[in-house]
Amino acid sequence: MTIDSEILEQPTRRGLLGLPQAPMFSEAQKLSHRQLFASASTLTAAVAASVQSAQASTDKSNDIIYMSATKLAGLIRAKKVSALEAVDAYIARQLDVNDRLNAVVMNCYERAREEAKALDAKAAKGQFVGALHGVPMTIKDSLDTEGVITTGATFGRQQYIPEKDATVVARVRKEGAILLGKTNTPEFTLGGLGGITAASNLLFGASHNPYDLARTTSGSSGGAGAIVAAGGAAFDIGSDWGGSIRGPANHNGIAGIKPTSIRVPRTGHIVDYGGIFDLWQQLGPMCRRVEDIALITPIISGPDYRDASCSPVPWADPAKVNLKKLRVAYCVDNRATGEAATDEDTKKVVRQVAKWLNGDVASVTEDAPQEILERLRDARMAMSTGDGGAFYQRLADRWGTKNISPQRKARMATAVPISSAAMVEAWEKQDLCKAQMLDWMKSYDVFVCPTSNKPAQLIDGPSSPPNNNPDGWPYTGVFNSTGWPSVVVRCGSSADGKLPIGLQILAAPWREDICIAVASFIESQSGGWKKPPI
Amino acid sequence: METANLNNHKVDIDKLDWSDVHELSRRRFLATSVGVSAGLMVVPYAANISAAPTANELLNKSTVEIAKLLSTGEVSAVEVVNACYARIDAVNPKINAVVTQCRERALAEAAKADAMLASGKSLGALHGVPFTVKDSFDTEGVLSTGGTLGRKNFIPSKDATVVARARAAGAILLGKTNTPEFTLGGGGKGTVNLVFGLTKNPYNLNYQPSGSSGGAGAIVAAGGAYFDIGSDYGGSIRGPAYANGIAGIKPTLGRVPRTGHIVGYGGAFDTFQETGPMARRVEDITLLMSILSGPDDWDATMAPVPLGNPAAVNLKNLRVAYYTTNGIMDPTKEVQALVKQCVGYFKKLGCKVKEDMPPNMEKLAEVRTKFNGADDREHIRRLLKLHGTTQASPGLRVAGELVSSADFTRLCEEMDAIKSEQLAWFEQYDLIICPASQRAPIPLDFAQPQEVRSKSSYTSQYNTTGWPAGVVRAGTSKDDAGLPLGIQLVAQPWRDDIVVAAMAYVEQQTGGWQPPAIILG
Repeated sequence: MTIDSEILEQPTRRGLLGLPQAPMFSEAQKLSHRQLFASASTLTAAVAASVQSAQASTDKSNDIIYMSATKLAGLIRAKKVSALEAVDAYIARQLDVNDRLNAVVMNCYERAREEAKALDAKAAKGQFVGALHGVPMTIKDSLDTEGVITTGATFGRQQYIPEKDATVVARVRKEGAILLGKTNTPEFTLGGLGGITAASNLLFGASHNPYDLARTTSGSSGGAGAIVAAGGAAFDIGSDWGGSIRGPANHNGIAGIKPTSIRVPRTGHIVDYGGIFDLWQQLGPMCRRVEDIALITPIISGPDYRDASCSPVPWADPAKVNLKKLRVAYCVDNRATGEAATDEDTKKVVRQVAKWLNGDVASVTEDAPQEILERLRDARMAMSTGDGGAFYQRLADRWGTKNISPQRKARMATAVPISSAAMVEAWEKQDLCKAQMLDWMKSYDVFVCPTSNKPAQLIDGPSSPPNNNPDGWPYTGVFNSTGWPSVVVRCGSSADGKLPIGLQILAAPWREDICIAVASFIESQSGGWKKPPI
Repeated sequence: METANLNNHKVDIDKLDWSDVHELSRRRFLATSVGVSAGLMVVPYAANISAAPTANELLNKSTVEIAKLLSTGEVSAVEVVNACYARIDAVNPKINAVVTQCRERALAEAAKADAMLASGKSLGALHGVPFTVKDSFDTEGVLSTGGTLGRKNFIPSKDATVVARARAAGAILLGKTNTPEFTLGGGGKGTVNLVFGLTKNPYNLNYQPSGSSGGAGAIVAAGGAYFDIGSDYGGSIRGPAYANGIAGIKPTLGRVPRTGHIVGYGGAFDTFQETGPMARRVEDITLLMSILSGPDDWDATMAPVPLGNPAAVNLKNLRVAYYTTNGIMDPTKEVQALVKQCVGYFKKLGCKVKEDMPPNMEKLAEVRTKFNGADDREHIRRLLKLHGTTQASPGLRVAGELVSSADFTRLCEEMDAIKSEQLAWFEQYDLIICPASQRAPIPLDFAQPQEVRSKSSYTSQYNTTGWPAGVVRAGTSKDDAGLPLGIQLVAQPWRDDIVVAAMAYVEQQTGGWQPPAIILG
């Protein structure tokens, strides 16, 4: 459960798609940032093209509920499938599995059907609103959805209906995606239930893993991971403050990305822009196939005039990455011991991936910046617990929640805040590590490592190991601190073949293109997502 | 070094293919994109090019102009370096701007630069151009004190990123310019420290050059260097650009690396600090921004956002907001009048202009001050310790108001909430025209309590937001006769191109930099 403990403190690959060029930002028609940087001609043209072109997919699945979002979008565009058919198929699947998964905690099926009909009417006239025309999705319940209850898993928002979509939700809907419902998350994506690990909360309870219902989905985007893996949505959008996209992608055997820090605006997420942890929090798509990451991430990227950290860095096309030039470092083990030790199944998968890469890339080296990452772990811990949970209490107060997450409550009761001077010093130490990590990465283009120490564990098993684990480094959280892009894709399975194991594919800041290209290659070797037994 | 890329000023931004980035290193990626803006702007001030320019004429030229004369062999680097040192010798005893020199090396580099050119090679866009650098930046082989006694003998083994980039493009370092301790310890006296003493304003020796890049502002204004590189944590580039009547920009947070600056990347106050060029002419800012910008694999706040081309900005289409007072402390009448005068230039173009200002500026200033002192300024004491300084400048604030860590995280949240609110406000405008200072440059003995000094700042607001902000000379003071007055121009994040385009326009309308009395004899 290392993911869990982390949580608690926790391009369009349009080349591939046959599209001429990736839009750098969504809403390209809107404004200056884009015109300016994109230099009008290329970018706006690209967006127009995305609306018109069919999208090539490498996905072999022919079942609507299991094929990639990219492939489904292509079929809808080719009028081989209607938006309504797609929506109905996914709704039926949700109704079939959700009793067992408890992944979707709110739905808007009626609206979804209306939207699908409207989109089909447009398609009949040859009009497609965007790259996701008619593709059904779910959204993590920590993201505001206009007209649809958005609790963020906190009591104070039990009946809260936002008037406005979160920026990322608005952007995918503008491209034609259809919202089916909201997916389970712990309170504020950060708090859980004692004794019940991962994606659980007082409002909706715990979500269950589609590969073994007794096991955790991981969190905090656990509902998202479970429902996408089970074919209940073509994709979801999660948030990741310490591993909350990557953990569930790993444990549910799907693909997910935590983009580079400050690429995707957090406006409308329950823990949004601002504060001392600001640079840790990222949003990104969770989907069955890596090609969908390449499709959706650029759509949600780019400034929105609210999230003051977000920057208009161009999106590079993963299809243009030359694998042969990449220098890959990998590590099988963070050197944690005891309960937190990495198991043999996970290590085996890493070694297998290294073997696959060997020969297809420039070099493969077993190496990790162990010492820097351990210092980064300490600095991260000092910062995240340093104010004794005051930031969490402020969130609860803001939304009028009196009964906060039991796990948080217990933790805050015993927390001993450090001084502001110690906080500032920890911040400096964190940033020194970030600089040293960049320096280390000059020798490599890719870093591959586990996402967690073990595949999904039992939901009511032993609670998370202490997060101030004195040895090892948390596989995911340190990369929230560095802000590097990280893609998780299923690379293998537990020894019994039942439980998915996904690894992290990391690159230096802004090089999502490299992460995606390598993840795509690994997916072609491992097969990536597999149909769960449910 | 990727001089070939840095040197390529003919890239057409419309033809750039961002998807090519995977083939390039991050630095090269940026270099190809930013090269575009270099040297494209021509501002019609007196060029006065003759067959054999006199030393004075040479020293009045812009960086862009001298680089051109050097590249065509009309003047030699040795000649230009010697002319700069002659000027430094003439003015520096009066203004104390240049505190360390590296003559021997500079002349050797100049000779080498001339030899290279003779064989048809060039290091880059700044080949042979002499410059100085604020003493808070590390310079390989050249004393870098940062104004602190603990470093009075410190000779770095590596250049700061921005220094390395300027040198890689061919610029020749003449020496270092004065700054208060850590750039923060001026205490209202402009630019002063315990290592080198006080710097004075070349337009009037009884006046401050402002700070903290005061030495830089003074020597560039006095023609002793073609440009300098400053740092700006609360106004330290813009203040001296204002007081010395030159041009300077605090770029968007994330554009120009701080690596090798004495207050470098990292920590709770990281987002306040930027580094940027200071020069006599705005066209120089355009050129230098293209050379200094982009990630360096150390400063983790940097983002490879392409620089726009100022020459491509259509000034007529800008939506302009202006304010003559921020409502905290009213500027003097002449400063307010100058803002209106500059607004008039943009009205004349047909711009949509509205009197308006970002919301909650006063509240933001208050929160920033509290946040910055929330650790009791232990971060400053840590700096003193790090550099082995036992005697701190009297102006350096080494204590603050310690708050609980719960309040510390709250202050940060409050600060960011206002930043978001202000960014939302800025969506409706492209440019802000506002005072750069509450009044004309101030006399050396101008006494103001710290509180009043904080309140009178018209610059720190834009360190807190991280927005690009430039200052260019736009007039002359009557209140403080003969001293320059400048204007502050601010654009949305990453729109440094708009700031520079607006600066160039104001310069064109007002004449910009004027030679100071000290060099007129």
